[in-house]
Amino acid sequence: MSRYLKLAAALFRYSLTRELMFKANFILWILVELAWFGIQLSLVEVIFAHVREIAGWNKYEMILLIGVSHAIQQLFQFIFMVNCIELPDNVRTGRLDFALLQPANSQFLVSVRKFDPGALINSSIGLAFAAYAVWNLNLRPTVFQLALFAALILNGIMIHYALMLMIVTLSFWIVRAQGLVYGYYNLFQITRIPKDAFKGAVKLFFTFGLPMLIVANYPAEALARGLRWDDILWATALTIAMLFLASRWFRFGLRFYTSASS
Amino acid sequence: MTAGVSKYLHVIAIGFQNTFVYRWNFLVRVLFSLIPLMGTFYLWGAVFSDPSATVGGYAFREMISYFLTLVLLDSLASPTEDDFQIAGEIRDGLINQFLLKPMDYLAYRFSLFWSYRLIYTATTILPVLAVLWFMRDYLVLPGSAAVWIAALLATLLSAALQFLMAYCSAMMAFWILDVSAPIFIIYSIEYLAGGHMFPLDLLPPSLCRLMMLTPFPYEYWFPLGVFLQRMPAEEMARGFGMQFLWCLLFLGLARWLWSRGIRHYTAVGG
Repeated sequence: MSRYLKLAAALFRYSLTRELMFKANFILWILVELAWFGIQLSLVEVIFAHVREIAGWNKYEMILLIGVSHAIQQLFQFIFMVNCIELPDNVRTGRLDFALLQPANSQFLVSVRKFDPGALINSSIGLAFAAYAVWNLNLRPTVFQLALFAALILNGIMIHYALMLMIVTLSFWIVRAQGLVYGYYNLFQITRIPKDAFKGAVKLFFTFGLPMLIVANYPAEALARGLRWDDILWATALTIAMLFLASRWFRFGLRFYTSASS
Repeated sequence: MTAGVSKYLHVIAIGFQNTFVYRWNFLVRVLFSLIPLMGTFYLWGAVFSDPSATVGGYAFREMISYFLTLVLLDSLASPTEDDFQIAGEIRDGLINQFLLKPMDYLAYRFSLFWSYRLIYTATTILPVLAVLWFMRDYLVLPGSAAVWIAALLATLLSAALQFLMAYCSAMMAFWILDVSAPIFIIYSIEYLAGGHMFPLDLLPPSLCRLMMLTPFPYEYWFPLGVFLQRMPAEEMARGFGMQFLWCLLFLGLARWLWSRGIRHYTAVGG
């Protein structure tokens, strides 16, 4: 375990050095994400100029939800996204060999080879807005609530990771899996909407099938209104099951990897 | 003159063949774009907690119509990869040949843009129509032929404007190596100020009027407003004038950026 933490730390230092070689670009990409986050907030601002609540959520609760959703998405991008985007290319060109030959777990090396330090900055901006909302809602969370909040954020990141790993594993069979990876960006948008806005089969699908309504809704609710214990338990169980399945699926896919070149 | 036009018709024909390879990508793209549409539907459904309520002068059905029509407009008029391709051609020195041939690069890219749009629309029209049909209860259609014609004209001008703006932003490639971050920032402004995120008349009136002075609303908001008959005749006439004016301005800007860029260009590659 500590060996993998050391490895991750070394990889992070390497990624940071790499990113800072192109400082202007590093800052520009932070601004890109910030601009899109600002657009989400402006939508909330515009809607609440006309109505008082959305599916029972008031303005600051919505800001909390959007801030949390952004923080989770950015933390996911910080650790996993670049690597997931690169996997299809690495499979096609045979560069995956380098990850497989290292004396460490292959799934680990495939998933956390490159970090995206800019996303770490953006996730803290998301959290800052969440904190601002918590302040305006007059919530004074206990240490226990904050710990639960952190655990549910981790849960959200892992849902994104498990689903993304399942998608990119398809690249062992399909050459152009990258389109599917970029398609995943569309799912992030569902995480910013209160879960009670959805109804019927669509709500069930985004809760149990592609659990986007658990990702950010749960941590936001844990702070704003409290969650039931059985909800927390089954959400965690679902994530663990998904991670297990994703890992098995990745290992299965790996057997079809044929490398390239001579 | 005919020779001048016919060579660009050939470009369109070649564009068809090249683009046809991407038909599966287009299909996947459209299918994924239905997810945010679904999110939009449920989000606004919750905003209109009482189905008979109006928000900013919109009934629920009109609001959903706005976003449904936007899907159609995007498919017909929005550049998909044009800006990144143009920037790539400048960066990789592929524009060298256009400096030697009697062919205008802007006209060449504009022809390719149309072959792209036509193939894109052809491959995606079935799923898009299926969605529109599925959501037909929420769709407000123009009542008269005149509105259809006006909406078509506004869509064509919107396509030209969107293309020219994408072309101008791609011209940055003459000066900087990686244009993707600045282009994504421009996208975000277009989304917000163009009315892609929400109808612009939900904004406070003064802010909305301010937006109307920028080119962005003439990409999405204006053609949608024409189609959904949300503006009086006088405002519509002014809108067409502005749309045309912005097209001319960006055409001029595109020419100017190109001539400046060429002087700066180092023609890498062989």
